[in-house]
Amino acid sequence: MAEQFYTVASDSETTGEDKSQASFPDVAVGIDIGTSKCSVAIWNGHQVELLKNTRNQKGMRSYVMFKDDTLSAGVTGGAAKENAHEERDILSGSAIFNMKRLIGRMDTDEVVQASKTLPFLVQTLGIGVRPFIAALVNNMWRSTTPEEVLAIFLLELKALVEMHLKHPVRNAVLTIPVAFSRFQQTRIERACAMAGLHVLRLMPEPTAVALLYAQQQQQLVHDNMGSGIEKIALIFNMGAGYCDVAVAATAGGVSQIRALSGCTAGGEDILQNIMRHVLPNFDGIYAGQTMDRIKSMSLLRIATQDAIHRLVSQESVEINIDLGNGHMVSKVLDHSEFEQVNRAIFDKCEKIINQCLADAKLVPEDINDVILVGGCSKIPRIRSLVLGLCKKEVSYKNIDALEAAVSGAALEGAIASGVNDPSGSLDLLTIQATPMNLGIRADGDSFAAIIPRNTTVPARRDMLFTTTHDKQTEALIAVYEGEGERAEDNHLLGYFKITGIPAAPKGAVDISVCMDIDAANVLRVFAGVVKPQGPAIPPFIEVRMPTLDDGHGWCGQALAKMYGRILDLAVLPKKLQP
Amino acid sequence: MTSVSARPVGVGYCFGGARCQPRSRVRVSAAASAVAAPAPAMAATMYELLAVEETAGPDEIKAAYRRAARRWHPDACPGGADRFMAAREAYEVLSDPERRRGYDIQLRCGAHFGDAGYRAARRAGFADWEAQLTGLQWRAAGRRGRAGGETWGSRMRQAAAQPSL
Repeated sequence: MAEQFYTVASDSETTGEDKSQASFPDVAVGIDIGTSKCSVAIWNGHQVELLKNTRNQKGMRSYVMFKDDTLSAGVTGGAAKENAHEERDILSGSAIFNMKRLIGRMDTDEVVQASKTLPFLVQTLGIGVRPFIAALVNNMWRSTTPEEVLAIFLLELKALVEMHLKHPVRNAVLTIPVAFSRFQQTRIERACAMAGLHVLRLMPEPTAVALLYAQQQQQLVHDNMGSGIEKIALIFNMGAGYCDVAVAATAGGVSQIRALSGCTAGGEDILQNIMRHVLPNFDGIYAGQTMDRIKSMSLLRIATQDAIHRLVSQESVEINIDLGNGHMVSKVLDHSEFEQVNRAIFDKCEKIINQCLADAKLVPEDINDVILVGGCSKIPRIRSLVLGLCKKEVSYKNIDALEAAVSGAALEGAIASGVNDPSGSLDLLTIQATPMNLGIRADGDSFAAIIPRNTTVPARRDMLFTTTHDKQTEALIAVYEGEGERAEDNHLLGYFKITGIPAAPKGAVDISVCMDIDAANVLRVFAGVVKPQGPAIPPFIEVRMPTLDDGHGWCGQALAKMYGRILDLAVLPKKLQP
Repeated sequence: MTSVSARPVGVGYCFGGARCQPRSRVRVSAAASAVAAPAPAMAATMYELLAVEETAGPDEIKAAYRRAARRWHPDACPGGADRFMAAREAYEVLSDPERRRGYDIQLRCGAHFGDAGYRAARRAGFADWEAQLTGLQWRAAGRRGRAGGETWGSRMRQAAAQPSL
């Protein structure tokens, strides 16, 4: 198969949706780009269909090969190559993978630090800027970005879909981890725009699974009109890069997300832990990103990954690797050792499950079904952990662990595109929840949450604030997202100033800050003075968030230093809130 | 009403027409018909927003919320976000026994502000006159030099708190 050149045009200024042409239905496709694997699904008029590539695969590798000045994404994966050869090519330094783990992260992030052991080049300065990423092309490191790699991948995926459907594809619903910040979400949207795709919805992965579950419950009771009996499902999703939990209450085709929780823990972390355990002094043997290091890393990675896979069905596995230059690895790994080495990861999973149950105000006995999805849900320790916390013996059986998220995304694509199915298969609704607190900096460095986490989306909440200085005429609105009590512990999304506040004694003027999240999860912040005594009322300001690009850590510090005191606001006491 | 939303309430439009129409098997009371109007009356009570009787139990309220969600959620009805959010808030209040009791008391007192008025009353410490006084004292301290007296919001909160004195 001849490889093609791709021209990636930047199109981040996409606004509005194209008019749908009458000649074909403009139904959004569902895309699940996992850290390790990806898949794409469509609503074919009767049911969800997962598309296959030219190698008859539904699950395709998430990588882009930059070899010999040609680009080749994992969608087709070089059809003529043998499987083992493909794996070594991917780990040769010429391919960029783990895009979903790297996208939207700063070089102070521990995930980025851990990625420096990957065969492609990851350089960090540790100062809160975007990491340097490069692929090996003709014996030179050529720089790229996770967004660009993702865009190239999406282009090839889009081509696959259009070849199958025989008409252009414009809209897509993509699954994202619960732990994705709004900054990371904008990165995904930008990559989609570069590939010519408009993001209709970004759907947290477990809520996509919840929608699929709702459809199945609907078909079970065959009762489209009644409310039906409510069933509560806990959905646990663990892939190569992220771990997510959701609690969904489902009845009559309506799936209400009661709580969401997520963290960055996945198969990649487990793999890195085992690699480090098997060969503790790897960094001591090889200095710098030399060819020897890349090759040895590749061998170690393939062998370790294979061992972990075999451990799912075996009590213990042998790992034997000849790294060359006299370095040999010979080790037997059993379940208890595997669990000991990865204890921190399993603790993380346990923590987010407990948090999700607490947020939903439920006890394990309230859960009707436990749904385990994602590649890591096959790990015995993971299964026993989740089922143990939910006090269940078996998990829900009717959902495929690897296809659930993309199937749910395709369902959401059809519903949000307005498809009306006479058979009632699309008589469904997912009521989303926002996974993180949203608010502003106030009272010095405090974080005032205006939309608390797990608020049902769409949502609109406002809060009243007041001035902190006599005759204060301006105020800084710095918008943050996260779980920390201090603004600085959270993620700065953007900022703007309110001007024209009537000069008055401090505390005399009410300032309203309203946050609105629409059904497409777009956040807008409105702020302004409420009924001032003066004759002129300054107009409210509306800002769509996030507005920041890179360097939001620095920006937050600079804003606090320059304006944190003189343009501060105080939260009105709770009893005076509207 | 002191809560301000700068966004104008858009005129809702529907496509895939059947999705936005009430189903024939769903009984819609005369009062609830107002909810289906393009501009729902601000005076609609939370019970009317959900189309339930004031004696409805928790399961009935939950079912009513799901029916409202099917009609007004933006996935099913582009432009229905405001109505969906109103139904969601009504569901949250009426599902919480304490909040529902407070809301019922307010209804019987004739303070007919709909959901927005209820929110103002609740957060103003309805039936909690001590907290109300504390809040007012805080505000008075901050407005020592203020001319013109109380804002509309203050007057509204005091009026809402009066029946409990």
